[in-house]
Amino acid sequence: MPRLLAKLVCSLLLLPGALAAQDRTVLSFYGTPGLIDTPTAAPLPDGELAFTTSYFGDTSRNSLTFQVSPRLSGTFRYSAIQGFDGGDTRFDRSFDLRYQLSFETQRRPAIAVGLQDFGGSGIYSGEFIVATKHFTPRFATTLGIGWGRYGSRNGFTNPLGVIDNRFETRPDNQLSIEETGRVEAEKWFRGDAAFFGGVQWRATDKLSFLAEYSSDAYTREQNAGAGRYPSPLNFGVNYQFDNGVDLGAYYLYGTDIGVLLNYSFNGKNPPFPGGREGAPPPIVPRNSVAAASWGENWRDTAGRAERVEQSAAQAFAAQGLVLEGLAFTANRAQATLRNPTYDRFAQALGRAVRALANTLPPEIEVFEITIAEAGVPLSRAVFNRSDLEELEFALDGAWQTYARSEISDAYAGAPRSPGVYPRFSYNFGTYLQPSLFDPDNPIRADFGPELSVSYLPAPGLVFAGSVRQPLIGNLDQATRMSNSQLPRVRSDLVLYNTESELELSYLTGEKLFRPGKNLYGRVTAGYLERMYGGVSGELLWKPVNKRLALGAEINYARQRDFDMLLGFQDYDVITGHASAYYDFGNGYLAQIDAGRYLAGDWGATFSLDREFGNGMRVGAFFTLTDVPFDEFGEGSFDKGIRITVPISWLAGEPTRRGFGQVIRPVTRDGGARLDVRNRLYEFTRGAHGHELEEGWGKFWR
Amino acid sequence: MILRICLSLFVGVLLAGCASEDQVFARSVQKLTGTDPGATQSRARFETLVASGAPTLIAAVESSGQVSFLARSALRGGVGTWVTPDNVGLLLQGGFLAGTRGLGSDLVSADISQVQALVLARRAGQAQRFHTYLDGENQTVFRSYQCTVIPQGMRDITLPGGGAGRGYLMVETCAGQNNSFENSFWLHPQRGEVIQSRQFVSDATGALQIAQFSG
Repeated sequence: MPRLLAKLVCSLLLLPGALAAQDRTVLSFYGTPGLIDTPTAAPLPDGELAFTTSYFGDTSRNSLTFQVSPRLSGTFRYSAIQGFDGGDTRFDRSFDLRYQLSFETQRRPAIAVGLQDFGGSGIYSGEFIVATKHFTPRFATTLGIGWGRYGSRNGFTNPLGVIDNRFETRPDNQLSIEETGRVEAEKWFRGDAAFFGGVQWRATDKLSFLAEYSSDAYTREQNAGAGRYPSPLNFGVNYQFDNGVDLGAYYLYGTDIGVLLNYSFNGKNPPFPGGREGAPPPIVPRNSVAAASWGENWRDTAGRAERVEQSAAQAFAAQGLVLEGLAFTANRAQATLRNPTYDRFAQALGRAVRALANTLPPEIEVFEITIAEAGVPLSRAVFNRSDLEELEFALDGAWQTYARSEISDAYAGAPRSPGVYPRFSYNFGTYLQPSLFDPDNPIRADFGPELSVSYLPAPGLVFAGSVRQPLIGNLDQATRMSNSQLPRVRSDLVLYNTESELELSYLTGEKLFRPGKNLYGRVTAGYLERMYGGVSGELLWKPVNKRLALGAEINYARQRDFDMLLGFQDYDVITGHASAYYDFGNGYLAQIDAGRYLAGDWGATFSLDREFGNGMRVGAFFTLTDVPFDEFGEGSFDKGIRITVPISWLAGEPTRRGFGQVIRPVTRDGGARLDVRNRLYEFTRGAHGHELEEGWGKFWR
Repeated sequence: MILRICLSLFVGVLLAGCASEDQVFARSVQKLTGTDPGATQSRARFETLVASGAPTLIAAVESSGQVSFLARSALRGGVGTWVTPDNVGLLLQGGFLAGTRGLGSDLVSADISQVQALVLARRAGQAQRFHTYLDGENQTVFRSYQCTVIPQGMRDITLPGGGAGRGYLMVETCAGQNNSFENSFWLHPQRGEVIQSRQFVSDATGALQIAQFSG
């Protein structure tokens, strides 16, 4: 994991900025498009990710903004306000949503509407509608109207009162930290409104001067004695480096100096577009394969077919692929492909067909390649050898090859050579386990060596285990114990971290199988994850070329001892979900899981992810269960965001490894799911129709 | 500098791990320590090609100054695939660049038939050429260019190895929606084929200089 981090950090430093500085939107102290402390309507490019850390007076904010679609963006923010809680620091998590109503044109301004901290009861809750217009390419003005926080200085009666009197008062139930996190839509756009606005002048391509009038009076901070905010006028300079970094220095509210650091990049733009891996082997003329040759009677000559297979297997291995089986019927070759190397399965197929074309006897005209993972056939792609020969150098070769290939389910099975199983593999590396948002120390982590092994005695049967030993780190220094009223199914994390040394992360026996056409099955037993052991069964219906997939999972889980070795505690539970997965295309994936969670609560999880064609993925989820918000505790319900960065994105070379992180504002016990490995949707997806199609550009690469 | 620090940092953490199957990481370590079986393999293949008398050429990436020998590893349907010892590939159709593999920001494929016809005929004229690239999301991107081909006459050229020679220069000036570039081709005075050229690959990679060893 640290090597991934090192790569991540380095690649980010080396990355050309998403956009040349002069085109980049300036971000505010909230990490969203804005001047200083108020928003503008300047949009971010689709797919942009922006990390911002800002600091002034008693306030520091760390934000992650993602431009989900050309018009919609979301922000997660972790803030600290010193002296907010009777002298103590208040740590606050907030989520924003923002929608671009219109983009700037020659005559009309850009207009955006935003819900800041739309939990509604948080410190930063405020709504706005804002317009921004450039009067020269270097000079832009912004004017907006805000509610909530943005209506707190020189506010006036809400003009929306014209529609309904209820808009004129904002329900004012200042909630304690235990009650935060609820979405209280009845507060949105309610109460007094106020105007805000400002100007941005780009003195040079990189340097901007900013001035604004903020309608935020910082009422709650002042009441709590956290800082003074006498003046509404803020001023600042912002410098944008070409590598995606922005630095800003500001004078705010007549009292404080502030600084801001921002780094942004775009998920669509990896450092090496198209990849920089070595050249694939070209398809040689078929008559030279004949010359290499197997002779006309190769099928009947003793040992000849085996030699054909050997030579094909070598050609696969040279491409980082494994030929698990090869069979011939008439003019057709059936090959079983395992792909340990390429993150895009289409590229694995492209390399495999060339390996076959350069080794198989010339009369073989059809290549039928079954993609198998852990010996389980996932899909089958059929190619005509002459199509491949025709299209290898064609201008639109990738698409034409896709159009002429045939991709279907591989339920019927695939040829298997003797000697492929049993198979053993291992990985010795390092791990990094972070823990975020502990008020005593917002970033904790452990780092150490990790050994994972897997043994497959037969196709679909996997014995796997992993141990790790923390070497350095401070996870065990956490002292905040759970105050949960629910069974402590996740909130005892601190106990797990403090009472463990050498840790058995998982140790399972697993059977993956195909119960029928379009169906996939999994049974896993053993130490399933860090906190639970038990038995897990899953069934997935997922036609190769359909957008919809349905699944069901049932588990018996028993809580493991805090030392994460072999023992168990008393708590056990039957948990399980019915799941629906939908691939909208263009990289948008939705998932709903409904069922019973670890604490015995019933409910559903809703997730939406955006996956770029290069594998980078950003998503958000929330879970609502029958646990009342009061009983759930801080945050009211489980929610979070997740980011996956494939190593290939950073390195420009194919690998199936990636770096994933789920960020939960707070980890509680309601809506908690078991974390079983090899859930079938992700297990099958890469080899299926839509994913194959999206990666097909890599076929001839 | 940053690059160097990162590289050493990266190598450091890399060396801390090993795996039975993950070839990229194993290879990266081996590449840096000079023990990469992949690199050894492609070098060995290159040497075998040269030893077996495969045609060779020399090419340079203009922007970085990197120079490499290439040997033709396959010729099929008029398109030759040429590889360097470290397995970067060029696709050449009678001397005209029809693709690159592994340069980073590769030209995936190109339709150069119209340009080729004019250049080889030493005729002035207008031609269209089409390129395909991959964007950051692995989607195919098409670029079309309107090109003007103008004969420039016989020129002195330096042959690879330092000898002096003569070549008939044809210059192709192309403009597309997003960019423009200029290609030059020097033709053999008698046989008429392309012996040297300077050809555009992509915005990020720039141009390649390619010279054939006269056979």
